[in-house]
Amino acid sequence: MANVVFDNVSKNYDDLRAIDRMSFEIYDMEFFVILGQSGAGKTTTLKMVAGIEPASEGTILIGGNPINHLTPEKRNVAMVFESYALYPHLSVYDNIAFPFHAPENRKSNEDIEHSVKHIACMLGIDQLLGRKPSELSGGQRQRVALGRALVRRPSVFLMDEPLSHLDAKLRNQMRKELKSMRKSFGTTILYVTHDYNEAMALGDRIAILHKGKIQQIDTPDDIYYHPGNIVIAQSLGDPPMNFLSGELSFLEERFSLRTKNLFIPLDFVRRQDLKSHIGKSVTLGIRPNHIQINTDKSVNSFQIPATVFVQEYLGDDSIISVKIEDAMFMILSTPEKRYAIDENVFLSLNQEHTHLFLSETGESLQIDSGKSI
Amino acid sequence: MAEVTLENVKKIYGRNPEVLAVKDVSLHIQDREFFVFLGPSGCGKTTTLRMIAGLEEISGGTIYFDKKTVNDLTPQKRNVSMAFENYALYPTLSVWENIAFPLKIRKWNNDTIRKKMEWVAGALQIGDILHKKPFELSGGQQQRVSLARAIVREAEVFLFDEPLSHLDMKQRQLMRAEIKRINKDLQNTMIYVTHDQKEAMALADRIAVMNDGKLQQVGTPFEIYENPVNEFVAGFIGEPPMNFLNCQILRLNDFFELILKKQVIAKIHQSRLPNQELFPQFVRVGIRPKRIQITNSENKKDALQAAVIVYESIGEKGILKVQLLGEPIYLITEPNQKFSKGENIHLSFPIQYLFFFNPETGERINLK
Amino acid sequence: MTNQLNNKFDRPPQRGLPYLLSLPALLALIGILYPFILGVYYTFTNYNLTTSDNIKWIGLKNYIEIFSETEFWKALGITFIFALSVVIIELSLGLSVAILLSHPFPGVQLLRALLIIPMMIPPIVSALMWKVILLPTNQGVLNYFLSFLGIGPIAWLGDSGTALISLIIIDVWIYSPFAILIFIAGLQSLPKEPYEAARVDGASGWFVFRKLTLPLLAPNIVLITLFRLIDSLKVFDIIYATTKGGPASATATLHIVSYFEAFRWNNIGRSMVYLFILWILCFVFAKFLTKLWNRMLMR
Repeated sequence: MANVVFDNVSKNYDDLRAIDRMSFEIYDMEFFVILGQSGAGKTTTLKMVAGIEPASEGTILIGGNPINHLTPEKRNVAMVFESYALYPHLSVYDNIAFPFHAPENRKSNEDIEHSVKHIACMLGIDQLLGRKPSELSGGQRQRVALGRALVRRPSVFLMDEPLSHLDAKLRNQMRKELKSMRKSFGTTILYVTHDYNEAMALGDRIAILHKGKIQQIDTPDDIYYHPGNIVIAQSLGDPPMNFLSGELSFLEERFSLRTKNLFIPLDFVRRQDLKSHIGKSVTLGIRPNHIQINTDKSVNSFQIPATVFVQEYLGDDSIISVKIEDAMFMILSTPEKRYAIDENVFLSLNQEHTHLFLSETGESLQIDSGKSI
Repeated sequence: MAEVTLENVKKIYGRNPEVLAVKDVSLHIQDREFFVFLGPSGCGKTTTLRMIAGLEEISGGTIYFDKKTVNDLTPQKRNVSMAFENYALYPTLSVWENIAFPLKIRKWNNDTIRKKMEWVAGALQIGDILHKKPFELSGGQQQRVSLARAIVREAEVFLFDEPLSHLDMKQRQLMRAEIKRINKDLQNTMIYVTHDQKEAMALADRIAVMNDGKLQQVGTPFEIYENPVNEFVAGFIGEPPMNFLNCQILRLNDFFELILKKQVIAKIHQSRLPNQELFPQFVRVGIRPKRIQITNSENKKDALQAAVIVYESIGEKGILKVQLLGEPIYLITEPNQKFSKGENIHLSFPIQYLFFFNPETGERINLK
Repeated sequence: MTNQLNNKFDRPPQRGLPYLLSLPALLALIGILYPFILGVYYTFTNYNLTTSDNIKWIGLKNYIEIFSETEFWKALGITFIFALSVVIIELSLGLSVAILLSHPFPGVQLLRALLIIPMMIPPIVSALMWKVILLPTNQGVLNYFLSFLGIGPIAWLGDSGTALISLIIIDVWIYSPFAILIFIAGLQSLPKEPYEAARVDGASGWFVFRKLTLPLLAPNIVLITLFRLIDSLKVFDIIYATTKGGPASATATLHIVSYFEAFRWNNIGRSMVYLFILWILCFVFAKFLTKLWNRMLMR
């Protein structure tokens, strides 16, 4: 059992509050991802688990035991850093075997050899054990760094943006390898990243961290389709979610969004308790792949008139940027259709995937308050 | 506004004339065109841009602006403006002064400068940082200021060296759209360097793909994507990139069969081959991840069995990595599908989406 | 869930380690602090080498005495004139030569190497060498050459009007290479891009110097000022080897005066007052300049 529990954990740097009352549980053997921008407090969180930074308040428990007072080497956690931090003068074998030099981990030579070979086979670097780090490619070095962390059989494996130093192609490739290997690691994994692709691809669950506060913890799909507030909605998706602000109005038993010149029906809003928000400023959010773009006005359903700002052809697909009044909307579409600059188009929103947020606080008006944190 | 022509342009670094950073690049950039140099790092794209700017000596060949040779002109005389990857802001000047500086040198009057500043501050979203000094700004903000300084000038040619590399995803998306629109509105010639194929595709009227100092292909994004001239270009565009398989070709009656490890993956009717004798016995077959079809019926004759290695559902799309006869293959699928590791699925490769390359030279072999 | 743990348990149990690690520094500090405090103590005594068995606490008497003497104020003035002049000349000379030497031309490497020579000669030796160069008659090398121009002979070190200038020349000769080397290193590590942007924008050379080179070299300027100002406030060796503070105490800096107070007049108490004031000056400047330096590095 090696679950990790954060019980009301905070971290202060002088008068700056880096982490604010963080409470959650990472289950045993879970791949848990913390997603946030730089400065959100991701790395601080990792360092508190690793024991490099002490928590200012609250308790961290691994496998049910409080670890605040333990030194890093006694916590049985391993960490992979953003830069691989391999020892350049040691061979791959010696790099992986390095943790056994610590008095806590001392083993017989046969045992060390067995462990190193086992890990190397698992990571597919058993042919490279005699080489020096300088003779390896970026992906191979990454695997050696993983191997060095895993060889001690840690109960919790911490990863701090381990793919961010790789170029885009290798990063995408390593991400898939990490995902396909991760069951064989046999540890609980806490992974920190600013890349939503990594978070969605790898995480069993994702925690969105913003300015030291956990915003939402959920499965990737739940976070993508049911974001609890605007910050969460913005943190996933490429191109990011589109937003349009206006006033929530209620006419003829229908909710609608009133902007400068538009009256957009919000048929997806059914909750009657939203009536208390009528007249308030709200923000409609919709992802670029949930908008349909038409060149002709339809008579049957409501469409939002817009003008094409610019179109980007991307081969596999195409992004059309349009302006609705002053707001820029991006629409993900098939590459075949071409639109001219300043062409008038009509957008129909997929009502099922349209979100509504309260502008003032950013919180979602659709999710039951129990769900968002 | 100017046409830019490169004629056999070369760049030699150091003393060895054999080591060319740029090898005989010839191309013609039209007036008002958005032209992008694309390639991996070290391919010579930035060197080429710097030679056009006049920051780097031209070792051989000629560069023309319109009909005028500019080889020996200073950057100032060429009347180019440039946005640098590492911002290159003046450290002691405020954001406003940085942007206005090139205009003041050109003796613009204050009203015109103010109008231009308002416009650029709005387009690049830097209105709230105009009074700050560069060291107070984040990398992304500095990059937008650098971009602003380049586009406020009415230069003959605008040059951009990876100007979006330090922005976060959302900002990059927005700035991409803005730059493209500014090009269409101002109608200036813009030359842009990037290693990001997506950025190149999104922005360019035409792309020049470079590798190892050599020009590989010049064409519209559509041509580059749908009609790559060689394996390098085909593999550089798209994410995940095109899949390549080494296949043997065997003739069976009227058909040529593409064989991967003793299994037929597709058949081509002989009438489609341009020159049967010249068609090599072995070819590299390429197919884009989006074009591979997953077939439901297991009985279907042409379907190939593959085992799922990993599936990622990332919001807008799903990416599936499978093993097909020992080769890793990437597919783009709809998001939120259910695939489990080790599961067997069946694939088919529609013949109209296959690309063929010479395994030795990498050159494309076209079907009729 | 358990309650919050006390803060003292939060920290890994390595409390003794920081003290252990700073022990050597502490020992060294005692070796420095003891004589320093002793020196400051003597400023409040009548300690005299002739009556060394009878040291008496006399309070601020030494200070009051010294502050009321014109000799002190004159020495303070000379110290400042000397220090500020050499710093300003070495900075401007250093920067100009460094800019010249940072452009590649044949022989530049050799020139840079030759520049270090003055720094390799012990200052005492340099001073004695200059003493010969600056001999008052036409036997002096400088006067000999000046005689061709119909100038001189000038008494240089022998004339109270030119003695300080002569010392400034000597100091500049010895220490300018230091400034040049720091500036060359600084110039070579400047970012290339702003200069390229200036070329594309068509900026003037003056703009480039004033708005790019100078501000970007600011940390180097502060560094050189820090070293050279403190050193030249405390200058002793070149003056002692040449003028010994003369003629007519025209070159008597605080340090020189303190020396004569102690070893000519045997008055350790008064000598220590001079030294303590010199120390306060150095301390204040050093503090200010290191603060400036830190602020620049933050950018």
